[in-house]
This record gives sequence, C-alpha cells and structure tokens, in this order.
Amino acid sequence: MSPAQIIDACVLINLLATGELKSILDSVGRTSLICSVVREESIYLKTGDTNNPKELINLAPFLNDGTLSVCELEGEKEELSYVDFASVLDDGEAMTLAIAINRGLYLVTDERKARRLFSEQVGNPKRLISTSDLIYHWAQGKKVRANKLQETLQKIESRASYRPPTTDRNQKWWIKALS
Amino acid sequence: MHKHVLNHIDPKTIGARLQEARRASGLTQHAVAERMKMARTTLVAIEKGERRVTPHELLTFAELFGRPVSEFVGRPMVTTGFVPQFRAAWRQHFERNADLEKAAAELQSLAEDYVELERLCELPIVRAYPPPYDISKSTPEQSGEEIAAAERNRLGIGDGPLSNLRDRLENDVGLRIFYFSMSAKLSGVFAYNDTLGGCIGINANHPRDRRHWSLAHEYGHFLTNRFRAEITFLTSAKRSSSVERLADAFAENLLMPASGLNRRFTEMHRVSPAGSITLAQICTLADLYQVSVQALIIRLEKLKRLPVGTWDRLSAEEFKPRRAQQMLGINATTQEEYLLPKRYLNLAVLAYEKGELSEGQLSRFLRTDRVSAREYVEKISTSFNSPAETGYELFKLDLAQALA
Repeated sequence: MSPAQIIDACVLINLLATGELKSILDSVGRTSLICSVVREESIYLKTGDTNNPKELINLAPFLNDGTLSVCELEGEKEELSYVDFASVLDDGEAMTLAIAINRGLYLVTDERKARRLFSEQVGNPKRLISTSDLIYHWAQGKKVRANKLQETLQKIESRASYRPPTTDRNQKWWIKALS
Repeated sequence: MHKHVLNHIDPKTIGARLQEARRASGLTQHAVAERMKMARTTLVAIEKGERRVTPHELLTFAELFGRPVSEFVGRPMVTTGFVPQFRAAWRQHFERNADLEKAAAELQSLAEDYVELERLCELPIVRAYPPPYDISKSTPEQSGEEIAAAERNRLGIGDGPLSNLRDRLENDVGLRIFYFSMSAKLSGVFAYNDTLGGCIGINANHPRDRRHWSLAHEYGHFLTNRFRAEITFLTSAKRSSSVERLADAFAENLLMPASGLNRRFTEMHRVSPAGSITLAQICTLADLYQVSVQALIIRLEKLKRLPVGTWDRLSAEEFKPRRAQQMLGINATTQEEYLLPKRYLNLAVLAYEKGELSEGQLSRFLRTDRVSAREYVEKISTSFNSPAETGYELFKLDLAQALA
C-alpha cells in the first residue's frame, strides 16, 4: 500500500478554496493526514464580500467523514526533529516536516523553505507534492471538464490568493487551463 | 539549519524566554514544576540556563504556556528583553495589572522580530539618536518646551502642524514604532536597550488625536530618560510625576509650537467675518494639528489667545467635541493604516521572497492569517504593472540589488 501523505497548511488552504477538497484527495488514493498544529491553525478564505471579507473555515466535516485524519508526534526522534525544524519554520510546517521525514510519508507543500529542507534530508523529490500536482492529477484522473477546471483554479486564486510560481513544474499547464 | 538546535542555542537564552513565558502566563515555579513532574530546583536551573532543556520538556513547556515552540528556538538573537526593564521600573503596577505585562511583552516581541528581519535582509536600521537632553536645570514644563523647539530645529520641520510625525520618527530618528491593541487605560509604552534601540508602542484602539499625542509623549521619554522603561496611562491622575509632566509639555510644544499656532490663530481671527473665533474654527484647527479639541483649547489658553477657563466652561455646558467634529465632516476616529512600520512590512516581504522566511513565519511576523499575508506580498512585492500592447505585464525588480 502506498504511504500516506501529510498536507501542510499552505496547500490545505488552496484545496479548501476549491470547494472540491474531498474529490481531489479521493482521486489520489492515499490516506491524507494533517498534523495537530495545522488542525488548530485558524484558516481564513476570502469571500469577495466587502462587508464580510474573510470566512473562517471549519475542518470538522472533513475530519468526521475521514477525508482528513489528524496525526500527532510519536517518540523522541520526531520530537527532536520537530524542535530542530521549529528553529527555521513555523510550528505547523515544522511538525508536518518532522512527521513526513521520520515516517517516510509524502509531503504535500508549496512552501519553498520546507521543500528545500525536505529535499536536503530525504533526497527523493518523488515524495514531494504541490498544490498544482494534486489539481493536475485530479483533473486528469477524474477527466474534469475544462470550464470546471478553470473555475476551480479561479477559486484558488480569488479565495486563497495563490498562483503557482514560475518554478512549478505545472505552472504553464495551470496558466493555460485558466485562460 | 543547525543539527539539533538545543545543543547549539545558548541555554541562558531559552531559560530567560521560558521564565518570561511562565511569568506572562501567571504561573509560579512551584505550579509549573508540579505540572512538569520535575523538582523545582530543576526548573530553576533551566530558567537560569544552568541545565539544557530536552526536546520533550520544551514541547511540554510550550503547551503549558500556550506559546509556539518556534518562539523559543526560532530567534537566534541573544538579548535581555524589555519585560524585565518594565518589571523593575513598574514593580507594584505589574503585580496588580496583567495588562502591563502583556503590553510590555508585545513591544519586546515586535522589536525582536524587527531586528530579526533586519538580520535576515542584512539591512540594519539607521539610528540618528540625539544624546539625552539635560533636564536638571529647568522645570519639567520649561524643559519640555525647550526640547520640543530643539527637536523641531534638529529635524528641520519648521513650526507647522506635524501630520507625519510617525514617518519622521521612524525614518529620520530610527525609532521602532508599533501600534497594537492594549487595555483602554494604557496610552503607550516606551523602552530602549542597545540591541533593540528605541521602541514605542501606541494603543491602536485609541482615537487618532490621542494616538498622535501619545506618540509625541513617548518620544519625549526617549529624549530625556531613555534608559527607563515607561508606561503611559490615559488618566491624568497617574501622570502627575515630573517625568510625565515633562513628556506632556514636550508633546504639547512639539505638536502645537507657539509661533506657528499663534500665527495661524491670528490669521484666522483676521479673516473671520464677525471678528471672533468660533467653535467650528477651533475644531478645524484641532483637526489640522491632529490634536484633540480639548488639548488645543488648553494650549490656546496658555498662549493667552483664549480666556483662561474656556475649556472648563465648555465642559460644564456639556460640549461634545466628537459630535461637533462629525457635524463639520471631520473624522478623527480613523484607524492607523499600518499597525506595523512600513519598513518592517517591506523587510518581511523581502525576507520571504529571498526564501529566508516560510509562509507560516511570514504570517506570524505580519501578525495575520496566511491568505492576508499572501495578499500583502502580492500588494507590495517587487512585481509592478507596466503598460504593454496587451494591456499590462508583470515584471520583477530586485529592490535589494546593490547600486553603490
């Protein structure tokens, strides 16, 4: 069985913005985890409403239906990694990275610094996944129609203020799908 | 990244931070030791830096104090913070009022973050601090007046209204000025040490004119007594000491210099059709100087341009300055556009773009959520729109490039 994937807050926000979180994660066919610090993080998305510009997202429905599972640190080795990474990242990013590395999980993050640290420690870029990787996989696997894909990408941009950087391997695909 | 940061970081730094966090959470050493299932002597040794904390202990401490782990290991700077300075100078108040500890801790945290951003971007602040003024030969009121005149002269700002005081003090003096939420009873806080420099915190919840006065007042503390951490209370009963009187006199003279105010008042009188000054004109003048109507009237009384007791009479008649200002279309309740210094915000974005900060760290530095941080990066990042045949294009400009 394929190892689980652990999702950092920066990607989770983008996936929540799509309104298709369950469908996107189901298409991957792996268990999706978030660490306990990310679960506690307040995630806001833009609403487009000037009177009430931000919406606080409740993760409970996705935890209750098993789309996401929460994991905690286990053992001294993970605690040691966590503290080390917390010296250069925030707590959620540090715990996500510590768990991914120590348990041999896929790491789902767009965060440049976290990706660099992961690559330095693990040296296996195949275990690194980005927002665009997940959306690309979902679009191909579920044969998502062009207008639906366009709408999904627009939601990520408008609600989560995210667009993949030029260094992202799917950036050209993303721009084309948006146009 | 250092392998095993706890073996590299100075245990005294972590010990001091743990001690501050424990005090801020209101827990005694006895209570913490009991919760941690360790001897009190072990906790004392950790706080003094005589024993290294283990990763497991650090995680438990962080949870117990409700603080992020990164707060204890994420800042390499070694410094004695402001909180002990405040506690030493305001011992009795600290014991009675938890809001003071909170304000002092926030000022320290923001100042440390600012210095950390400067370190990451290799762009230290330029300090143009004058030597502390001698205040031993005059009354507080005389000293305040003299120092205000000297500072206006030193900074080359003439005798007009000071609408950009914050920019002046940040850019021309090199002070670190933050606006954040405090208890309504507090107007501002000030502290200085050699590492963090002069730092001022202003109550962001107060109205514009109050904030303006508080900023000038705290600057007065910096100029005359910078080695003592100061807390300014809103109520005048707690502002009767000579130090506070001096800072108030300085603020009054800095914001409303006699020569400029007299000139404007005379001009206003000259053009007034009825030959007398109206309350509406006073309200407009107060808005121009960004001071309260009360402060302006009292100043004009002292300058003998209005009869002594004018403000007392208006108060007795239940004159409401805010209502009058509303009728005149003056909005003196505007929020501060930037709670953090603009330079601080720019440094945070620069550090993020250089890959020195992660998105989570950026959000923490900006005191906001991730999407707001992304929006901020988008807004002030080094991308600019430029006209092109197709409408617009984005281009990147390296603002950190060396020019000389």
